[in-house]
Amino acid sequence: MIINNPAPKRYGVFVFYDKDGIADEYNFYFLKELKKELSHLMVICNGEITPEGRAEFEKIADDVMVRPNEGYDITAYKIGIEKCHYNAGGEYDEILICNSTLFGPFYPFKEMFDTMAEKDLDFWGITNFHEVPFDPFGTVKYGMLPKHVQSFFMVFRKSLTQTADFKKYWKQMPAIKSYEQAIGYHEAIFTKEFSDLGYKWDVYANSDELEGYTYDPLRDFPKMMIEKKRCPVIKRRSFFHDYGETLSRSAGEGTREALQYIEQNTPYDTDLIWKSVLRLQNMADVKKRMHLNHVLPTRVRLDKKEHTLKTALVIHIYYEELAEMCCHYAMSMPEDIDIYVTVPDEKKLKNAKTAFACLEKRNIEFRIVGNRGRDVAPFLVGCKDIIPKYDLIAKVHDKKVYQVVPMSIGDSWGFTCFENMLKNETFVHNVISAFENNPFLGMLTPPVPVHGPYYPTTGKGEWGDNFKVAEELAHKLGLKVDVNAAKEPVAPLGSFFWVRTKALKTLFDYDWEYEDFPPEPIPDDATVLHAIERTYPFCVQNEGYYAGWLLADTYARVHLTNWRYMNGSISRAAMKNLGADRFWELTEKIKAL
Amino acid sequence: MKIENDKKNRYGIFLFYDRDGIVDDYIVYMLRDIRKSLSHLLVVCNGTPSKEGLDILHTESDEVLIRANEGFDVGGYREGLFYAGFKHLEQYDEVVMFNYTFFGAVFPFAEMFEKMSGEDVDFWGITKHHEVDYDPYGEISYGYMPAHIQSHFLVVRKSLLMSDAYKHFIISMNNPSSYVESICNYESIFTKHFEDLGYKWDVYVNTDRYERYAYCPVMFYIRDLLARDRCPIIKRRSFFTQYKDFLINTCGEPSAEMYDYLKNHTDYDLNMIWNNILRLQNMSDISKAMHLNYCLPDEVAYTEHTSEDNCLCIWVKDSSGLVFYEEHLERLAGCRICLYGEKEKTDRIQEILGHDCEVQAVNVRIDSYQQFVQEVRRHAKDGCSYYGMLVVDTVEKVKPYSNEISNVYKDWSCIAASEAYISNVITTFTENPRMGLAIPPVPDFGEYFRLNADGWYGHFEDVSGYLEKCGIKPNIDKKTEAMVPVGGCFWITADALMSDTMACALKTSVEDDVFLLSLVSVVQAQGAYTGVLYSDSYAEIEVTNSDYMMRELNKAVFQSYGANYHDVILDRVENNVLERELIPPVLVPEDNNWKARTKKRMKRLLPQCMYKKGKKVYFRLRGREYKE
Repeated sequence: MIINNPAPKRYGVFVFYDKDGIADEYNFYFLKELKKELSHLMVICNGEITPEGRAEFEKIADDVMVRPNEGYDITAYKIGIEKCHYNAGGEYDEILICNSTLFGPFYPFKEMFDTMAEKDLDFWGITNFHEVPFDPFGTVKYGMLPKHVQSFFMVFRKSLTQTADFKKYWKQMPAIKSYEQAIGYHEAIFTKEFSDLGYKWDVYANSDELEGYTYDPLRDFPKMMIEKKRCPVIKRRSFFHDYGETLSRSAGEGTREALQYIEQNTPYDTDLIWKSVLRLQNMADVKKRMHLNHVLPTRVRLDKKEHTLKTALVIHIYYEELAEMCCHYAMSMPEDIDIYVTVPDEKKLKNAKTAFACLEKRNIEFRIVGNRGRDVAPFLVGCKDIIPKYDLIAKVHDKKVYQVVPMSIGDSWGFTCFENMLKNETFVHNVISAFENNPFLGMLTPPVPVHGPYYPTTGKGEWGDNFKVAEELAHKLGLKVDVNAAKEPVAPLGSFFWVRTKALKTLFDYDWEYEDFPPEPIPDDATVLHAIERTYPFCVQNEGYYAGWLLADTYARVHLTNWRYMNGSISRAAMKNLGADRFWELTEKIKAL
Repeated sequence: MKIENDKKNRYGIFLFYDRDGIVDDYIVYMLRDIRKSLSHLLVVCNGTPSKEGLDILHTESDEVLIRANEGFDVGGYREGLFYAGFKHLEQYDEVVMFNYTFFGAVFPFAEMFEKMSGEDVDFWGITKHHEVDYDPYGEISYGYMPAHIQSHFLVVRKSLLMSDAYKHFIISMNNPSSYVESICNYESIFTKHFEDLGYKWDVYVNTDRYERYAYCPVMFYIRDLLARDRCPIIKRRSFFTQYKDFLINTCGEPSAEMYDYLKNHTDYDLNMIWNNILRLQNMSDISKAMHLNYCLPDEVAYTEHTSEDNCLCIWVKDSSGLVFYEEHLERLAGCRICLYGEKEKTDRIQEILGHDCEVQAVNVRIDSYQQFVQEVRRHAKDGCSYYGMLVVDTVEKVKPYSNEISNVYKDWSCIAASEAYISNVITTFTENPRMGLAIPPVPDFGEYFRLNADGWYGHFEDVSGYLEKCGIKPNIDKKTEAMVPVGGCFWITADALMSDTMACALKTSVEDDVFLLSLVSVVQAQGAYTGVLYSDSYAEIEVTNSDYMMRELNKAVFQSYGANYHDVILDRVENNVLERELIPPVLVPEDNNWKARTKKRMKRLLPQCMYKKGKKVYFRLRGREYKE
């Protein structure tokens, strides 16, 4: 049917779910926009909802229901549809079901509803999933995935809702206990089942020309779908789903490209996306999907705006012979930036002052902080009074690794840390600009070292034997973000970082004292120092900011060689023995050896 | 003994070797500089030099001695000594034995000779290898590798030269038959042997501060050695040695840091390095050692730059997937573009480009990449020094096609991200005049990972055969992955494009894949290197992908092969030596670590079962979990 009614009546069911029952702002925006096209909106909360969230939903919706989190969104859809008696009285032209897994709309929903109203259809959705000739879930009765409307947003016209077929479908829906069942018993089959019965369907964002390019156009081509097909939504999962999925069929550029497009070309406030993603998702996942690696130029400034963030450099110096090198890098700081040098005792103070003589005319302060807690206590305790004075701090120290021979290995790590923190003044300007231009940026750290004995850091040593202590600390600090043993912390493993002071509020509020740190000599692992090092990014995220990596372009050229060589040589060697394969399949083969 | 520098009473023995018998200009430069401090120079050639080479050596020395390529450098030095005769050599204060394995003089050798003449020593060198407390080769008579003067430059004073001990040593030793033998039986023991006999020695570049830091400072602290110590030489190896050597010792930065210093702070003509390295070494190895990757900003230009010296050449091969190129084409405002292909196809591109670009179309039917290059050559314009080559093609070859869309995204982002980016590419070319070709990174995501399983897309033999037909003798091997612009997108200098070598390479027709895989060698054959371009924003993606892949790969290989240094794991994967137990990387304990020493001693002294029993008890006492 075509909708001829100039003021169509629509009944909408919105299913909300959040593990903590917190309704993020993006839901309210989505619903307010959606409500403009609906005559009746019912919000069903699967599981908990906070009183504030519920109050907000009640302001927008006509009906709010809270039910146990059972049977996925489908069961809630069913309840919602039953609530209007399958449109028995024919009151509504359309019944709509959708859920909270979407960000949007980037364009007014009206545009979409008006376009679709002119089409002769019995049901429709925004996007479809292309046909897959096999059944990856093992629950689909057809033994394959037929082309289908994606169930996060579906609209049923009166010509369908009033039929016995429709009623029967929902009444006979089996109980759903798993994600695979949700797909196999509903999402993947609905379209074919009704299409076979002669009902007409279509999607708003048609993706026929992407057949062969992808099974899931919105997942793999979000920017194109938004830009060229005016798809008004993007899936939340784009921002955090397992990265291996996207890397198995693309270079992984999709999500970041889409976000940039949304930000630059639509009125949508992308803060809504950041806020929800950073509250809920694992930092390491988000970092990958959004490519939160800032590779910044060292010979040209990205913008010449005057800085608004008040910035300081904090350096801890223990090894006298490295004071000069520290001074060399401190000189990368623009002139108006304050410098704090912390040292353990009088003797080292004298040495540091001599080394820093060339910075005499700058605003520089030396502090004696004692010899406890390596470079961490001097920062968290010895500098806690200065934190409120600054918006942004660069924290570095004299890195020396004497346990590993040859010591060039540790030297090189120090080089990695300093070069990516304070390469030169132009670079430092670009770092400050990055913080100014990215309001959600909370912390930047140099990349994890991969050379010599540091090679097993990636994939093993990031947590090492320190997960438990870090988790305990996170608990003690009351952090609510995902601290996960299976996912690496985006942590400053060299204890070098740039941080927005606001983003470390929780950590400084703990009010550390020197006595909280063990006296020397300290063990190699699992001390509070190791815990703090790995907890920084979670504190940052807990305050609503992201943690990422920082690379000077001059250093990136080195690390890119390393990664390429190390991954390439092992992959080729493995494939020589095990046969050519895709990356993920190859890793599975290696594990099975 | 000390000597009088003014007399320059020195006999030089220069050991020359070259795969092709060619004498490069770095050798001429080095010999001219050192002869200012010598009274006589003998060149010993391991193997016969080319005729031109021999002429040069004659001009640049007093005598040339040709011998078979046997016995490595020490074989040559010995023959030189015997040729001159100890009796004859008695009249000299010093005999200087040095070889072709380094570049110099970065700073005048005279400076060094003057300083060393005042030192009271019996023999000396420029750099030393520090002590290694074990024997990495298992053949050193001392059971460890003592600190030693590196044999690429060794000076023996009369006080040692004329001694029976020295003569006996040189006369009675056998020429080494392998590289390892030459290290174990000569280079690494020479210094200690004579030191133990009471002879005094030293090196010009004092590297005591790197004790425990690096065994071989001339490789791993070369920038500092130049900047702080005026070290006059740089090892050739710095520019191409197997990359694992760097990664065992450093994060890989030494040669790139050294090169930047050389370029910005010395007068040494870098062309002498490139002429030699590019003629002989493998481009992928050079690229790694020197980090010939360029990460360039895509939003701002380094300098104001006009588009007149460059042109983007786009082969419109197939316009059916144009929708995927639109966003890239739209970014080319302000660029100079030349479209190649049939009119109905180029017209469609022209429409998208609009009026913001200077567009020209060459409407010919093009069937192969070689023909595209031929057409670009034919339409080359004076004053255009750099050509950006791009292809618009069907994106429906590799399934799912999202792979190809990403490859297009990567190629266009890294070749022509914006007008500012292109300007930065050109700046990079002008600052690096020996770069002839600049390519995007080789794709390693999705299906491309599998397709490039051997590093050569299965075409190594085809490439070798083709290059041979073209008369190019490349240094390529199947085990070292190819550098290749897979999608046919790259920048090339007019010099490289218009060269005779290229003309020759275009005459032998070959399929597109093989041509593109051969391109790096074609450009190298004319003396230019290949760089890899990354736009900053693509580099950010590459960082994610590389880090992700390393993590997932590590989890898998550590599970099956154990966790250790990368080179150890690589070796295990290559030979499929499984290692079930996870062993943390072995860190060499500190010298004065009582615990480590005791442990070692117990392990050596006690029978294995007793040691294990003791260990168990110790672990129980310490409350640690004991695993077999």
